Amino acid sequence: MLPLQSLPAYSLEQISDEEFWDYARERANVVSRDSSRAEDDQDQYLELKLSSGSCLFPLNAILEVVPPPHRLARLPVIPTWMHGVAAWRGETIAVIDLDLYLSDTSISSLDGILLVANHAELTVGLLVPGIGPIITVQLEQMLPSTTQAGMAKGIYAGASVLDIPALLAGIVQQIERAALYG
Amino acid sequence: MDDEKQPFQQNELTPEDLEVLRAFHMLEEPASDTPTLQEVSQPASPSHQPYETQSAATMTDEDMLVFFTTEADEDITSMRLALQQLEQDERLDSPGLVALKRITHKMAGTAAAIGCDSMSTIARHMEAIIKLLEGGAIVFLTGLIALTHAVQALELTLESIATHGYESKNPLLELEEEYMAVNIDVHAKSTPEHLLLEDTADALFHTASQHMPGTYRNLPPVNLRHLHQLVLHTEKLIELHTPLGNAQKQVETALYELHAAQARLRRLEPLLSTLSVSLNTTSNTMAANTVHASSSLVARILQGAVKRTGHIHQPESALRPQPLPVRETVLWDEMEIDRFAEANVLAHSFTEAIADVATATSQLHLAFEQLNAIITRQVDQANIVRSNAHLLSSTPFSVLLTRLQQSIELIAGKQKGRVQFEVSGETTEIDQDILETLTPPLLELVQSSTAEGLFFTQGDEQRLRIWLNAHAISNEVSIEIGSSLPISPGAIAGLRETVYELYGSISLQDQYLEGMVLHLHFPRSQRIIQGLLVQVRDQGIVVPFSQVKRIYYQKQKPGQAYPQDEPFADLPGIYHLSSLLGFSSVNKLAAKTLRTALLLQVDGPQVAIEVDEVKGEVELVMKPLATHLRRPGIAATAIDGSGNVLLVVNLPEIVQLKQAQRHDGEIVTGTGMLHHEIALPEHTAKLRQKILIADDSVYIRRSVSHTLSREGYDVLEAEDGIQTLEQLSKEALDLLLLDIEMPNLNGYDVLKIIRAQQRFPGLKIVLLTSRSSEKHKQRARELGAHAYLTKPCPQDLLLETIRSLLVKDEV
Repeated sequence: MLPLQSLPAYSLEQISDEEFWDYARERANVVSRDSSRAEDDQDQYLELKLSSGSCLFPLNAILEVVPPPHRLARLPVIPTWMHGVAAWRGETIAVIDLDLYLSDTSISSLDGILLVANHAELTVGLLVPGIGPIITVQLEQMLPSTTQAGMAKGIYAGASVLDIPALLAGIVQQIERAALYG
Repeated sequence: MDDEKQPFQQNELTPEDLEVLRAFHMLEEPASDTPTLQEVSQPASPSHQPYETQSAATMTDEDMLVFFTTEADEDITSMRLALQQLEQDERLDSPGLVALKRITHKMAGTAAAIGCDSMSTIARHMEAIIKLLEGGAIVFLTGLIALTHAVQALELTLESIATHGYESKNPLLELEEEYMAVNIDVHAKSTPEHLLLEDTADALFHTASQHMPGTYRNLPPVNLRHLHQLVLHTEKLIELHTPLGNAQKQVETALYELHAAQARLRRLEPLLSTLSVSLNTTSNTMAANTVHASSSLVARILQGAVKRTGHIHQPESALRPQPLPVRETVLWDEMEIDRFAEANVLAHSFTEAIADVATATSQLHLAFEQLNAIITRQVDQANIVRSNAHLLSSTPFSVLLTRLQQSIELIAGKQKGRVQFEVSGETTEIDQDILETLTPPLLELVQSSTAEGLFFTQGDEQRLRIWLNAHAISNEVSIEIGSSLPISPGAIAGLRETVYELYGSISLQDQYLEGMVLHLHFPRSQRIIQGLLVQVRDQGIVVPFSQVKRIYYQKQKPGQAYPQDEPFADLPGIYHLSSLLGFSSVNKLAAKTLRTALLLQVDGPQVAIEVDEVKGEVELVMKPLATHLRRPGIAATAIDGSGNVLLVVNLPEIVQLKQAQRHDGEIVTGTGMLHHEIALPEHTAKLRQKILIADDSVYIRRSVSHTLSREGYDVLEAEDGIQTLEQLSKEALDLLLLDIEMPNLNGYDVLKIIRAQQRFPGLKIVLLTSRSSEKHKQRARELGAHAYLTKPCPQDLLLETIRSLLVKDEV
């Protein structure tokens, strides 16, 4: 039996039919396992501990979880929930107090954890008081959201499941509007 | 085959057929073999004789020459028109370029056919330039100028034919010289370097064009001389890798030697401890024996001496040789030789080890010095490479000067003799993007100054002197533009905005009888920023050098508080940067003993910006802000070595914005945030306020006029930009309803002039236009329009907008 896992493509012609089909089955299982892992990622959420309770943040929208920047640069005319801008991997990103943005309450300092979130080529730093475990959300068990209209996809185990496209688009829109209207 | 064998039947051809055949024959021959026009007017060469008789040829040449010159004259006119269209369209898919290609191709063929080699060559040069333009190998503006000059050369050559009856080669030679001066290689296709560049450009072009609008489809050409320099210096940089590697190895070796020496020293440590124990034991034994000897032989001798003399030998010093342990003594005794004491051996080893450490440390220092020297050389070389890379996309200032001169001549027409155009610094290298950005407002400025000087200034025969000077120092480019007569404020306003876009500054110097001088300063590169790092509150801010004229310091008595807005000595107006940026005002000023202010490079009254501290100079890479993070006056950000984000500010723009906002009835609060002073009341507007409707459409003017009159406003009308400005100068208007697309001056031009003159602080401006795109709205906002309405505009929205603006103004 050939070592199927590392079989080079040019060897395919040299193996017997039986070996070929064994190899094919093995590769098929690998692909199947990979795709199921990808699906798992889509269902995995990081629990964020906010002052108003917990919410769930999709893992696939998080680029990095880092300590908060020790110093931020302020920009003129920004919303109250925006701390300023910070450097992340050579890029200047907005740092948002997610607690204040979602619930009007703030940790009022740079304590906590910074999530670098990304959606549709838009990168934003979200400062949260703390994080919890990673939770696999069974989407079919998710309840309709009653609060945070437009920013939550639903409720799962008592926590709001955040709708990242809507959340980030809302944040960016308000930052942009602040420049126009103060 | 039979046809070929048949003898040529010359008699069967008409004179026209003969001429066509001759033309084809001449086209097929190499250029050097084709007869010149002068030769054509001479008796025909023997090679042509089979087709025609000599007398017939002379007649035909004359006829053809007349025909050719007439047609060539028409073609040149068509070329001019095509160029005009190309210039207006500013894009490669302009119908003007298509027409130009057709005409130049035709001209190249017919001129060669008639024997006008120079004209044919010029036309072929034009074809080559068009190809370079289309391939992105030369920039649009450069190509346009090159083509315009080629048409001029064609015209001059044709003129020489008409005047002297033969073709002058001078215009062609001059043209080729000029092309060489600006690095345009009309034979580019024949050289592999250019083929490579064109291929690369094409590849990039195809990639980039998917994301870029048509206007930006031209790729900047690469200056081959600078490319050569870049390659050369890059090679030198690479050559430094070997000495750097060697220096690193030397440091490693020295470090290894040092570690080894330190290890030897450490190994001696336990021996020293043993020696100390041994010394104690021995000293006891010695005390008992009174005498100690370095060996048994010596001991026997000493014992013998004691027996003989009764004198006990005393050791001379504590450092004299010490006895070895018993086992070793025995060994030494067997050899019957004297030996060094253990302390001696140890002391010797200890000295050697210390010397080794000292030597290794010294070698390490030396290796580090060599490494640092190589690193310094490498950094210097890298800086040269970077400068070379920047220069790749640079172009000489002369390219713009040619265009300006041409523009002046165009405006002056027959009166061009009255204009004295002086230039210096033609060879100053300026980034192509910067030059392209600067060209339109500079052209506008020079054109308006020329027109005003020649046609609208009293004293008809007064000469107009316009001068330009460019020079570059370090990372900064300075351009001086002077005019012996006043420069149009509108044109200055346009130029000012462009200079601000380039992170630069502009200052105006009125020299009274000598005229006016504008000084422009901007960074040579738009990617690297060199400036002052200032501190405002706890934030680092970078101010480009080009925006700062001077730094002022004012000493303050310790502990003495002072009002924040108290002016510096000799400084009429001062703002605090913290206040301008709207940062929270934490008053730490009382504790300060030194106030620092930056005097800006601006035209008009001097403006100074106070900062908490000037930390020093920096050179950093600029990072553009994402769209949602952009703020007026914040040009970009930069990230320092510690990962801090620094704001790169455009101070003249911030000050201008502040002044505009003050005109709009807004005030700056203690924190520097802008707020409306009083909330808008809901009640009625003042009656009989004057509104000017500026629109080229009679229908719009009439219908809007009817609506506004019915509401009790006094309404005036203007059908173009000039009339609008005239009305503005005559009447005290409250509101201007302005269209964008109008003859003479468009709405933006009018806006620019209004803003530049600053004579209408209370005037509200509403743009009423069919242009609905965001870029137009943005442009209008930038130029200070108070509202933007899109046609067709609902009547109530129009009235409500006007009412709210005028009520606010009344308050």
